[in-house]
Amino acid sequence: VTADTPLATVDLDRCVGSGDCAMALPQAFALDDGDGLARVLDGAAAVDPKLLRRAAANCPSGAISVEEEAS
Amino acid sequence: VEDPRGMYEEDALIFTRFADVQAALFNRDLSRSLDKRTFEEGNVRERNLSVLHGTEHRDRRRIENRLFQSARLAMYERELFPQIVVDTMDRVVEDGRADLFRLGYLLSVVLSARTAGVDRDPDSVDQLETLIKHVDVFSEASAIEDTIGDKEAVRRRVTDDLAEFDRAFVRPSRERRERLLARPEGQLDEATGEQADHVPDDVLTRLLQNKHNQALRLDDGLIVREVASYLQAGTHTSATTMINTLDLIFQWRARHPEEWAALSPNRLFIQRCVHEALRVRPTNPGIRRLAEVDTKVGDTEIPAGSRLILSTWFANRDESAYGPDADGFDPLRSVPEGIARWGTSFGAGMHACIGRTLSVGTPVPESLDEAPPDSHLYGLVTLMVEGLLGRGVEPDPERPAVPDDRTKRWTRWRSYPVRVSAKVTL
Repeated sequence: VTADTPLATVDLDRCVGSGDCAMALPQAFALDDGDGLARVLDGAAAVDPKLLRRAAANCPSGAISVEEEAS
Repeated sequence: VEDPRGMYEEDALIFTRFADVQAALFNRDLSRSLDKRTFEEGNVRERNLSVLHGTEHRDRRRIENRLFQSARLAMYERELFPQIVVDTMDRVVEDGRADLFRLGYLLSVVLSARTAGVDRDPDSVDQLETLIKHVDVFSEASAIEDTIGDKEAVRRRVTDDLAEFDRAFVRPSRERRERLLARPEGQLDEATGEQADHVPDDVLTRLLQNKHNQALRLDDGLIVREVASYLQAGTHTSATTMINTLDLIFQWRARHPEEWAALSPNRLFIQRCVHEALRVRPTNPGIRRLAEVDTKVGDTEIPAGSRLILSTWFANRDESAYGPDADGFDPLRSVPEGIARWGTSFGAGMHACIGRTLSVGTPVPESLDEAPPDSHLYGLVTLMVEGLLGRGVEPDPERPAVPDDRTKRWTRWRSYPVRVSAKVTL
């Protein structure tokens, strides 16, 4: 199960809802009101991929992946 | 001062480089499932979130993470905590003297109790004093692997203390929540007059709401220990960080009086001091891990069953991350993009401290002169430090501070007498 844009993906099976991604990049990630887990927002497409990769590296559960190139 | 109490002497692989410690913290093959006899069974940490691994950890963390989301943290920081700081300081400062250890505990325990779900009489300082005695016992037991002296005595003490904590605090708090949860939405509770839909949202309530899920194994004993752990962790680490920050500020401002005069009114600078103090003095100088399977950390092969100590103390002093003067306290230091100013002190990965943002806020922008974004949080420790500085806090020249000699974790305090003067202005 995933929620993603072409560039960033959140693995909902791994996400624990820490909210670190949403706090660091509120334009790219948000926590869902229902299950409390992270979702990628449309705005992620306009975010510097370097910042997305940093959010992925800092994700405590390793739930975020970022493609090398936008497709 | 580097490993003055033999913390790194046990039979374990010691990692000291920043990159290795970071890699190990994110390695999912390394668990915190340490020695079950001393560390878990009967101890406050038994089956606690902090020692779980794999899916059980994920599922518990999902429940509890929801209590630490940004809107709630902003409410704590902006609406609730400033008044707690003022009220508590007014109550416990006597004749211009106070002890930072007691004061830090009293300030932190009010909010920790609220987060954990421990009901208390808001007018009773005696009850807060009782809670901080519990926190002290739970803190010693939580770090039992680093206890200096009789570990069995620590185990006996925490067993007795958990029973008393349950009787005096958890059971009444639980009964109230269960009564409220059982009422149809909107109906008033006869005993308290509260509306049923106003159940306090805290760790205790969340655990009670999920108790029916057998897979989570939320039995009565676990609920007491989990609430105790949140009370302990939220109180002890914030208080310790507050003391270390002030201790380092006292030294820095004596050497840099002009910079201090110019920068100290800026709350962002005080927050920088908190982050730098955490880097220089991590509350746990050595994080332990156990290899569940054969794995690797950096270039090092780790056989299954190996014990590791990740030295936050040395990693936070790694010159490749923090520069040639990494050993010293310098709130004005430059840090490379992407590296946390607080170092590895909060851990990282799946066991990263759940209360980090509540405690020390969000990262400080590089420029201290620009207003931070609306979403910026300063953290409760910053407000505590600022509150004390606003009251003219100084070390008490007649009474020296006393390090906590009960533990190998040498960055902790038992007593830190100070003098304070002016009223708090927040």
